[in-house]
Amino acid sequence: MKKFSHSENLKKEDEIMFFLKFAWRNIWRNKRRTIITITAITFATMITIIMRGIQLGSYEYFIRTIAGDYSGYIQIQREGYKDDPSLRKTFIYSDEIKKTIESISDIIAYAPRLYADVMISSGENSYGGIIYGIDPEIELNFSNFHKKVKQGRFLNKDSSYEVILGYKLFENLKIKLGDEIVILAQGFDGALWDMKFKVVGVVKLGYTELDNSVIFMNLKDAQELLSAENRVSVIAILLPELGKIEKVRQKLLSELTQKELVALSWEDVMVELKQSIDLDNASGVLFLAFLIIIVAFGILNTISMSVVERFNEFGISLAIGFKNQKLVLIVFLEIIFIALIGILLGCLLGGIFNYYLIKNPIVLTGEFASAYEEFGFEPKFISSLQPRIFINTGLSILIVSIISSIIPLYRVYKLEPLKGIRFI
Amino acid sequence: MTIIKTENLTKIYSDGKVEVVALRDVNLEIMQGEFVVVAGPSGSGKTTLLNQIGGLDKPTEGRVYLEGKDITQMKKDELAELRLRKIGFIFQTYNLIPVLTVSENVELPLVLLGIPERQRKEQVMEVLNLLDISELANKKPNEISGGQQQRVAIARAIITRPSIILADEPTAHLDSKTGGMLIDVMIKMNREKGITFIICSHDPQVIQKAGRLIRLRDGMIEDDKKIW
Repeated sequence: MKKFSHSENLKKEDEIMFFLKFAWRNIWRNKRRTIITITAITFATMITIIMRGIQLGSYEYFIRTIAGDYSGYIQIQREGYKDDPSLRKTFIYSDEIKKTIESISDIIAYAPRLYADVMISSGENSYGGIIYGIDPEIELNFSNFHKKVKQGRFLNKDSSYEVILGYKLFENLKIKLGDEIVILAQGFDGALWDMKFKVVGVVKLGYTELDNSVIFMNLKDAQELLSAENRVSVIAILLPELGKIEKVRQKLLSELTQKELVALSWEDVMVELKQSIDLDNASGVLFLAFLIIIVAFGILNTISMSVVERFNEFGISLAIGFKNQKLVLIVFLEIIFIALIGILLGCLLGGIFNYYLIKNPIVLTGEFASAYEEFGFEPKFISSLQPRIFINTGLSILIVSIISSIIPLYRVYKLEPLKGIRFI
Repeated sequence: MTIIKTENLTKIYSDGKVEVVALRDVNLEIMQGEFVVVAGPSGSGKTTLLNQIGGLDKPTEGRVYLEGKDITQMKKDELAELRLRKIGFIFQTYNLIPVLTVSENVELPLVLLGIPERQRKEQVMEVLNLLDISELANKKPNEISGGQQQRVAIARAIITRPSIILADEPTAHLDSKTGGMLIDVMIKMNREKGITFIICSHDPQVIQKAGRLIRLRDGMIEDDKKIW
C-alpha cells in the first residue's frame, strides 16, 4: 500500500480545497440553469419528505393504536402460542416475570391478558365468542378499549362477574345492559365450565370480527372460568417508540429465565397489519422512485449541457497538464454541490411542513373520516419527523444524482485534449 | 543540447474515404534555448507539428523525442504529467478559465504539481511582475483585454518553468501593436529564462523576430534557417 507523508497529505488537501473553490464557482456560471436544477431537487426532496412523513406518521399512528390495543409493541407468550393459541399454551404470570419486565427501563407499561374461545348464550340465543381477560386498571393506561365503550361503562378493578360485549354480539344476543349471560368454556383442566356474568357495557372496536365476538372481563374472572389460576395467554408491552422494539426484545429474550417464553414484536404477532403496511409502503416508495427518476433526467440534462459546453475548456486544461481524473473530480464536486444544496433545502422545507402537520394534523371529514372511524382511528392526517425519512430521502437523491451523472462524467474521463480543443 | 527531435514524423488524417497528409517525414532537431518560429500557409501542417511535439496527438508514423525520451510511446497519464512539467502551451484564443481570477489561472498548474499554497502565491506574483500584469491579479479574464489575457496565458505557460513553450498563432487575435509587444515578452522570457519557444505563426512581425525560422509547405520542411 502506498503511504502518504504528512506533506503529501497537505498537498492533497490543498489541491482539494482549490478544486472545491473551482467547482463552486463553476456551478454559478449558468445561474439560471443551476437554480432550476436545484429547485427541481429541492422540490423532489421536499415532496418525498412530506409524503414519506405522512406515510410513516400514519403507520406509526396505526401501529401505536392497533398494536397498543391488541398485540403491544412486544408480546411475551409461550413458544408455539402464535400458531396454536389455545389454553394449553398459556403460562404462569409469575412475580419473577413482572420483576424482569419492570427491570427494563424502556418499558413504559405492560398488560397481562388471557384469551379463550367460548360459547355465550342468553335465553335461546347462543354464539361463539372470544374472552379478553384483562386487568381494567392497567388497560386504562395501556389500551383504548375504555374509549370505545358505546353503551354502559368500562370494567373496573372491583368488577366481578361483569362483562363488556362487542356491539354486534350484543345485538345478536338481543339483550340489554344489566342482563345476565352465560358463558360456557373448556377450562385449562379440560373440563367444561359455565358461569353467569352481568353485561355492563358495549364496545365498538371497529373490527367486524371482534365486534361479533369479543367479551371483555376481569382477568381474575377469566382465570376462574377457565380454571387457569394465575395463567395468562400473553403479556403485551408498550414502549415509548417503535425504534426501541428490537433492543428491548433482545433484552427480554436474554433476561426471561423461563425457557418456554418468547418475546415477539408486533410484526410477528400482527402479520396482516405488517403486510398491509408493507404493501402500502411499497406503493408509496414506487411513486416516489418515479418522482426521483424524473429529477434524475433533469440532473443528467444539466450536467450533460454543462460538460459539453466546456469541452473546449477541458481540452485546454488537459493540454496544460490536467489529468482526466482530476477534471472528473471537479465535475463530480459540482454535482455534489448542486445535489447537496437541493437536498438540504428540500429537507428543511419538508421538515418544516412535517413539523407543522404534527402540530396541526389535517382533520378528515366526510367518507374518509367515516372509514377511519369505522376502524377505530381518529380521522386525521399526521406526519413524522423520523430521522430515517431525511437520511433515506437525502441519500436516495444524492445517489440518483451521482448515477445520472455517470454518462457525462465518463465523457470527461474519455476526452482527448485535441478533441476538446477543437470542439466548437 | 537537443530538446526536441523528430524522426520521419508523419501524420495522415483519414475519414475512411479520403486521406490527408498533414505531415510527411519531418526530421527536425531543436536545441535548448532556441526561439523557433514555424511559418507557412494555412494547411501546411504547423499546428499538427505543434500538437505532435506537445504530445496532444499521436503520429501515424515516426517518433518525437523530448529531452531524449520518445513521447510517442507514452500513455495518456504520462503525457499529461509530461505536459504539466516540461511543456507550456499558448493558444490563439487565450483560453483562460473564466471563473478563476488571473492569479488563480496562473496558479492552476502549480496546484496540479502539488506546490504548497504559500510557495504558489510567491511564484505567481513573481511571474505576474515579470510580465507587468501584477495589477490584474484579482481580475477575472472577462475584465481584461485580449493582449492582457494572452500575457496571462504566457504567465500560466511559464509558471512551471517548462523546458519548452509551444505557442499556436499567439498573436492571431491581437492588434499588431499588442502582438508585437507580446512577441517581445516571449523573446525576453527566452533570453532571460532560457526557455525554448516554438511558435507557429504566419504573422510577419512574429516571423521577423524569429531566432530560427522553419517554413513548412504541404506537411514538409521547405526551409530551415538559423537567424540568431
